[in-house]
Amino acid sequence: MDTIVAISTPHGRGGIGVVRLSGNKALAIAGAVFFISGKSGAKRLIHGKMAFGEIRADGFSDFGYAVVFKAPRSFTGEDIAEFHCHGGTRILEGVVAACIGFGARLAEPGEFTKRALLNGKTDLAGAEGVIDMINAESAAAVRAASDMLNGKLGADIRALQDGIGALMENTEAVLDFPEETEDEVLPDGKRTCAELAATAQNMLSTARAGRMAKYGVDVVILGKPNAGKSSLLNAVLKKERAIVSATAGTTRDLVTDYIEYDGVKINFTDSAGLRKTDDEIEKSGVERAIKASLNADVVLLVEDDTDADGGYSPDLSFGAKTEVEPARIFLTVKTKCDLTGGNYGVKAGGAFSFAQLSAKSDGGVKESGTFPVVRLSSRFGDGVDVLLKLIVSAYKNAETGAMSALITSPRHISCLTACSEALAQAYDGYVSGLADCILIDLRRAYDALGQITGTTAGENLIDSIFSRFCVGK
Amino acid sequence: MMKKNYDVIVIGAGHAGIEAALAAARLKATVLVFVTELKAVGFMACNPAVGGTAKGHIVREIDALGGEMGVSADAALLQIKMLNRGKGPAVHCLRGQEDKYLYSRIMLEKLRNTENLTLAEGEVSRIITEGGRVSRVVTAAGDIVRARAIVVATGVYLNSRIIIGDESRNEGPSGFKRSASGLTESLRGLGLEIRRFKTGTPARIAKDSIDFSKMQIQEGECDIHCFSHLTDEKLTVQQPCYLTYTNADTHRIIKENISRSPLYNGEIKGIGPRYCPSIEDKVMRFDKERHQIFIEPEGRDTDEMYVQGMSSSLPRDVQERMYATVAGLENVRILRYAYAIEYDCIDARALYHTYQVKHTEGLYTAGQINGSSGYEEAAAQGLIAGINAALYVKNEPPFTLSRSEAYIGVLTDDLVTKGTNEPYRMMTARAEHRILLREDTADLRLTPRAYAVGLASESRFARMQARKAEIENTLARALKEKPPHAAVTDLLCRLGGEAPKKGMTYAELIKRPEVSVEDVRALHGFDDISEQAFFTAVTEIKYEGYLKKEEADVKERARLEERLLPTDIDYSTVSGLRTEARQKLAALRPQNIGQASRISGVSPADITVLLVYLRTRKS
Repeated sequence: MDTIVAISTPHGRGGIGVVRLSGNKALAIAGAVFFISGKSGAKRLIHGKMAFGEIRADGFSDFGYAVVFKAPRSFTGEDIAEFHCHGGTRILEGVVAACIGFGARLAEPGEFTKRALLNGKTDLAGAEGVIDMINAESAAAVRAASDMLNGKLGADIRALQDGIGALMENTEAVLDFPEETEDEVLPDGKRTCAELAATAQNMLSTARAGRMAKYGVDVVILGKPNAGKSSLLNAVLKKERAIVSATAGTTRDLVTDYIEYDGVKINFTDSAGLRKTDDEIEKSGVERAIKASLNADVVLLVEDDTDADGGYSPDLSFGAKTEVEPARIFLTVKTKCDLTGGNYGVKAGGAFSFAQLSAKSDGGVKESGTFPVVRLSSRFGDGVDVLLKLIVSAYKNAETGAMSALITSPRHISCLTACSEALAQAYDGYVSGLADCILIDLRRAYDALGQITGTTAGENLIDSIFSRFCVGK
Repeated sequence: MMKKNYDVIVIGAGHAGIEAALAAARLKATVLVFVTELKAVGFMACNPAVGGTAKGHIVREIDALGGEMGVSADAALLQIKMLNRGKGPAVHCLRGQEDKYLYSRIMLEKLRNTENLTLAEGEVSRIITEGGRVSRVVTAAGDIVRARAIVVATGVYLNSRIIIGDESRNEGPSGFKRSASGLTESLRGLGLEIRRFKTGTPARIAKDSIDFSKMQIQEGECDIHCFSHLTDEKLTVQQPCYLTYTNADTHRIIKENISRSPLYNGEIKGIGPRYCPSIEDKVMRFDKERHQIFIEPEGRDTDEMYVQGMSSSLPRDVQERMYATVAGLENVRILRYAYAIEYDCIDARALYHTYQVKHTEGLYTAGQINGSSGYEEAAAQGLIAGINAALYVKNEPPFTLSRSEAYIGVLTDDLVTKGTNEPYRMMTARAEHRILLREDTADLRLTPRAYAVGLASESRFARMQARKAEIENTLARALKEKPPHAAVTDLLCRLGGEAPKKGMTYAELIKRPEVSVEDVRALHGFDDISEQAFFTAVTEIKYEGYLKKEEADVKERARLEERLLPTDIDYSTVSGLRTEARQKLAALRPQNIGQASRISGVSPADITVLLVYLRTRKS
């Protein structure tokens, strides 16, 4: 059986949340995602025993517990792994995304129970109890899907699916009616496939904008110790959130809070100052700061304008981002400008957009000289508005730069990713011209979107062939 | 001489009836076959061809199972071709042009010379049951014959009606006698829903009235294998077909006379197949400048030619003018006019996968009566029905094929689970795992099954095993052995690729997308291996990734097939099912969870609910 993954605790904010995996790759994925003292949990997780460690997802990690149950001694009768993380949608969805990255797929409503039933594992009481749950889940899924399908995104996804469907029809018609279709003028399959693959990619690239719309723009503040990062946080929040002191290395853990500005939620994360240190706690704080920046939408590189040696270039390029999301936006923020003659506001770099920067896989670090520079004073508040406006405009650029409506749900991202991969393989198939393989991939692409739209390839396909082509003798 | 008592009675000796009768007799049942007229045995009432896309697969499968169609089709071949070459091995399909009269004579001889089998000219008018089981038939002549199993294979002969323009006659195809003495009523009385389907055929024209110089010649292929796994010879002398086109004049005549077409003026009410449209359908529904017309020979010793692509129900005078507009047919002489035919059939959802009627033990239906069309589809059903009738008589477990095992499995499951609203034709698009159902693996997939049941002969089984050994030998060697480096470099450079690394094995070379079976064959590393075994081995290597994925998928689905749904489930009491699913399940009564999951309107959540229900019921 393939391996399925889902968030098993109720949606929304909670103290902890559980992500569960079931299937023959569950243990392998647990080893890839969960680390005990920096080493893979693959061999270290023991059946039925909770273990403490680090849950690594794309661009962030969380400390929590994991437990595995080996087949057949588990709820589903298959290998199961569970991650007990901190609560919060972003964390849990991130862990799910990481599992998908290692080969799991999102579970359908009731699928864990279905497997338990297929393997003869659930007892009577358990079985009776799940029906309501399944119906509730599938009703919720149907409602969510129908809300989505009525919107622009639904139209875009249907259009993509229809495009794949039409390509399948052409290809199938040629296979089942080779002589009749010789007399038909058919579109170039290879080119059509390339166009469809590009559309799928474009839709995926909107995932980041979609996430920002739903959860807010993540801004991480990086910089040398005492550059004024915590003061900046307090300035944008307009409250004393972080402890500010003249002692370098005051902030050691991540400090997060959010504001709403111009209708956009902005999540700020203050971090430990970046420097080489032998202090274990501070070192770990620095690591966290860098990791947090990897998952951010906007990174503020804070420099003390009174410090002649203020420029700092941390290595920000490590840890490849997921393919789904384009790279981050970088802004240089000069603080304490009230001491250096004001001159507040944007001073260099000029216009930018996510689209421009996303073309560079390393987030444009190499061109650090061209980052927009914002001069401000945290103490008096001058220039802070300019910074916030810039952040909001970054979000708005991402929103308008996206070719189609916003995609927010991990389920949709997972389906689109599967679709996009299958289309890429179908395109490869055109090189060898083996239509039978191309069709396997096209069908996968079509059915992947079918998980969103509810239409899978089948009888419709055959109906369409007969309505579109004059085939048959 | 007809006796008073048989194990199995087969009604009809068309493509379904023949396979049913031969299979049952070869499984040692005593068999009586009724046919309306001896010259209608195995008659190809429409196109003089066997095979084609997906249908070619079915013929190979029938043959692998020990059926007769492949062997006889090979013996009566006029031309053979492999369709879809270059589009991938999964969709390679054989198609043969056949001497239809020779084919019919060969089949008649086989029926006459098969042990345990009696052939009788006559018509069955009633089927009588006792206690929910078949017990005997009554013939139109008033004879009563007892039987433990009955296979109804009436094809398009049941209450059939021929329509040409405003003429209509109560007869079977090609002027044969129809079956009209009450069998339909008898079937209805047994609870079967009777439907009316329609199909049609083009005119037959005189060869000497055709100007072939105005057409494109269509040759066969002399160097390919035939349908049967038992046929070693290749068909070296072939007869051509010809391609020509309709034109604006043809279309104008049709449009001007469309009101005289019974298909359009409401005279014909039966449901016709979309994949086999009449020429008036093609012209009215599709705005094309021309439609293809293929002229095909009907036999070696006949002057008749078949005009494929121009079936019609228009009146004779319109047909004459319409055919004469086609390039090369200016002086055409029509020997038999195109006609539409309507006939009675049943809704096959009343059947199990064995083709037994759900509520009547021992009663089987096969072929066009089940709503299918095509000789191959009919023969496949006849074969499975015949095997099961014999097994039933012997009190042995039934024989069925799954969707992942054979096109025949797909055909059966589609008919009995999904049902059909038009004459059903097999298409490769209907098979979800076509890469596992290739025509080159029919023997490997099915001969062991048929051998186990007793239908495939020792020699057929031995041939399959020899081929399997050859394939395994090739696979093992391809993984280790390396073709000469210079030859590989030549090949890859010729194909526009880069020079390969040294020490590339055959398997690595085969996996390259640009490299074909023929390219590898030409390296002469496997000259001791037969072409067919080599082709299969290379395909297995080339498609390894896809095959593995598909096999895993099949395994997952198989688990659902194993979950049987009891026959007495009252779906109205299963809590949690959505209304649509409840209605569909109650109407179709699937036998297992896998079948239930293929019913449109039954969602994955409904399936889980069913699993829960099964679990609670068990406790």
